[in-house]
Amino acid sequence: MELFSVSGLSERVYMSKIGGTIREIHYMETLSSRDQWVNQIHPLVKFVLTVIYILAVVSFYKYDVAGLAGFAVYPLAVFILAELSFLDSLKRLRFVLPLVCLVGILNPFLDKQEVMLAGVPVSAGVLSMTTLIMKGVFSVLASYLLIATTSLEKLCYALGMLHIPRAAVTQFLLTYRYITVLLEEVDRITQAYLLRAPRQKGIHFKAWGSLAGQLLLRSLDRANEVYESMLLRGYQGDYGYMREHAVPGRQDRRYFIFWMAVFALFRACPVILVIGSIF
Amino acid sequence: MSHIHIDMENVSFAYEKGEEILRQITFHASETDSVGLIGANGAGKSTFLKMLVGLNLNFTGSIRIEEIPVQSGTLAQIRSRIGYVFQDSDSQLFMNTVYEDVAFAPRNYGLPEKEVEKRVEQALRMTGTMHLKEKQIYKMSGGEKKLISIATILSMTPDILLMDEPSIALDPKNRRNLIHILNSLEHLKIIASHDLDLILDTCERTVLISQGRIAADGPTKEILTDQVLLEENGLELPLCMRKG
Amino acid sequence: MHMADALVAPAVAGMMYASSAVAAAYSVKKVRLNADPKKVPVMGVMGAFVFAAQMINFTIPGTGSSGHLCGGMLLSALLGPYAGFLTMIGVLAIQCLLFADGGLLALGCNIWNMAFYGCFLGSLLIWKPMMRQGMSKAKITAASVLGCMLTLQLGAFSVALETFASGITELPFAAFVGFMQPIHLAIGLVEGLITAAVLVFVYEARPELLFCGAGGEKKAGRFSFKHTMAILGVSAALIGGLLSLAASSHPDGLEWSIEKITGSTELEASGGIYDRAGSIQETTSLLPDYAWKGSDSAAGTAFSGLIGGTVVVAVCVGACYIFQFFRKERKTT
Repeated sequence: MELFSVSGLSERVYMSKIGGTIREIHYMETLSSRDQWVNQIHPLVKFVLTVIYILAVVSFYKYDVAGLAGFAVYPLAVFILAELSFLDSLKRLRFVLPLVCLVGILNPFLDKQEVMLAGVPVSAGVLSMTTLIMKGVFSVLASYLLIATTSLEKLCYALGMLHIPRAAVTQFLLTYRYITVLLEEVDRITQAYLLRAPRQKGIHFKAWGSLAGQLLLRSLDRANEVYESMLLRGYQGDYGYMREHAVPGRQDRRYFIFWMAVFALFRACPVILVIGSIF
Repeated sequence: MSHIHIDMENVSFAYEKGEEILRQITFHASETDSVGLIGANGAGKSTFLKMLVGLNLNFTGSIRIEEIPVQSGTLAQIRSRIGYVFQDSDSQLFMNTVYEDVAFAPRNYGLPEKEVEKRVEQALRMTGTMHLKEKQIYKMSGGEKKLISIATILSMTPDILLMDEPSIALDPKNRRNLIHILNSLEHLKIIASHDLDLILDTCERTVLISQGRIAADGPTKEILTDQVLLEENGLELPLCMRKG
Repeated sequence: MHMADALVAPAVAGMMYASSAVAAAYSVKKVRLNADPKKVPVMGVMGAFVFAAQMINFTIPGTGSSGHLCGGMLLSALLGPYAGFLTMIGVLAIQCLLFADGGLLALGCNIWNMAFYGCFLGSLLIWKPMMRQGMSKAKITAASVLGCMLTLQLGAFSVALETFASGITELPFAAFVGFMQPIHLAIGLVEGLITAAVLVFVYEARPELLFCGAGGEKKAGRFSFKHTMAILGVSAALIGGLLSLAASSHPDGLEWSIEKITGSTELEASGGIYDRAGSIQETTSLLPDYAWKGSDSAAGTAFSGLIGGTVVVAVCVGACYIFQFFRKERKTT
């Protein structure tokens, strides 16, 4: 079952934490450049849907576990449609989940109104903590699904359609381009440092300035060379063209309308409870 | 007389508050010449190339590319005729995918997207990299990046190609492939390199720069076999010329 | 310090997006990206530098832990407040999109908390005035440490404020702030020292690269009282706005403190957005007995929720596979 398959990572193996970051960028690129049906949907449509989805999710009332649970249908469906591995996406929760838990963990102790759940009294704080965690998970999954099916360039194209200045988009893409180049450089420098200082976990404070400073100066030199390279190819300070993508087509519109209808329905009433009450 | 030519007369160059890097250079090249530019580290090879495209402007003397003088007002014109391939491909290739990068120059020259695509495909075909068209730059090997660097220049259909150390960090197979592609390009080429075997395989003419001056200028076969001349100027015979 | 989507209510997210957008639009105007074509590549590559340099672990002497570089302060010392701010936006957007570090909806908050304070306040209130009379190693160190501590304090306070205004946590505001501020005081000190080390290195190697550095004075423009007041005013208005939003929409959080004061738990939550949200919930709910609060039907609700959930998941998964199946059929035939 595709839902739980672990897809192959890129060929190059990195050992360090920085290596892990580079690998993650490679992996996301591999995912977004697949020839899946969901990947072909217009980037603007996917972007707007994701934003609306997250807005709808975080707007739920803090005790409304059942209503919120209905919103699992979107990630569930897109995981299947895009043939993405659910397990792979879980590690993306590493930043958000601890934070959300930290904030929500005291709710059960502070909000002591009683709620009967299947005959057992629980504190309302448990509900608010549950919704908080659900909101955290859903919003991260939705963002993951966006970026796993849409390359960053295409996303920039969508941003361009939303009238973000072209120079800013170019700057953003340049940052993205050079992150891997500079990460590899940082990896080399820190490896070289740690090989000669095997008992240290990080950079000794005597080398703080020189290590990062050297890298900084070299990055500025590189920026200068990039600028020269751009100049020599006709750049005059205004570049923001992208390959022409059509405006959203019929299929894109249908996809958009379908999900908007689903979101509206699930936001307006607790579909899960309605269906459950039939039985 | 042909229309593609480079003329440098009495050119000297120094960075602000520094000693002269190039002194009294006079150099001419035309049509489909392929010129190897050799010299020890710091001899001024890169400075030489950068002057031709107007990246180092405060020189004295005169540089003319196809009769157009190199000065701040003519840079756009000059740069549309000369392509410069940087030593570090990661600086040359600043877009995220091959297509976007090769399309950068033609788009800047205001070509319609249809024409841009044609140019991109032509450039990729010339460098034998059509299969990389949609690939992400950072996933490519050093050899692939170098070929794409050349393609990004070819897509602006220049008359003249300048290259700074094109074979650096390439494995033997990629280097062989690069030589093959360089030989198939019928542009006026100036190739600055420490890789004398590459120069021997790609250039008929060689210019030897030493301490900012042209120490020798002549057929590659003569200069690169002159052991005394090379060693006087901090270089050595190409590997293939050395006898056991 | 990256905020997550789950921690912000739509109103707060929108408000912070709007504030950050205003600051960004003003920066775009001030930087005039198109006037100096070199700015775009320099900002782009410097953004990548900050991203990469933040992965370096700098050992804190005497402890087992490590600290990181403070991007906002560093960028504003190199590029100035406006270009630094725009560069930081790029870094934060990539952290959010590629690594789920901070959310899409919370991006506006994160830009404000981390980029705005670091670049605008750190640069205009601390860096520029201190460097106006010329630079020195001591001044650079002092400015970096002060700047980082100030910006992190404000950032941490804003995180607490935004979370509180969103009505997410039952933790009282004072407790949350009391928890956030001291931690970030220490982090700010360390980040400041690391940033200072890097800037001092740049100062010794190539001082002309620093904003307001040698020869840069005339171009940098004078730091005016009007500017300070404008920035302080905007920040104050925003913080005030968030506070009032919090006060009106967060009876539950206040309840806790009231409870502490009055010793009574009987004080019912009243007024504010949440009551309205609750009543909307009731009227839009198709099931009259869909009640969350200790009614007899709660057990039934949980049961029907379980059944309903199962059905919805089954239908959703089934429909997707059927859809997928037909698409592939159509492709192959």
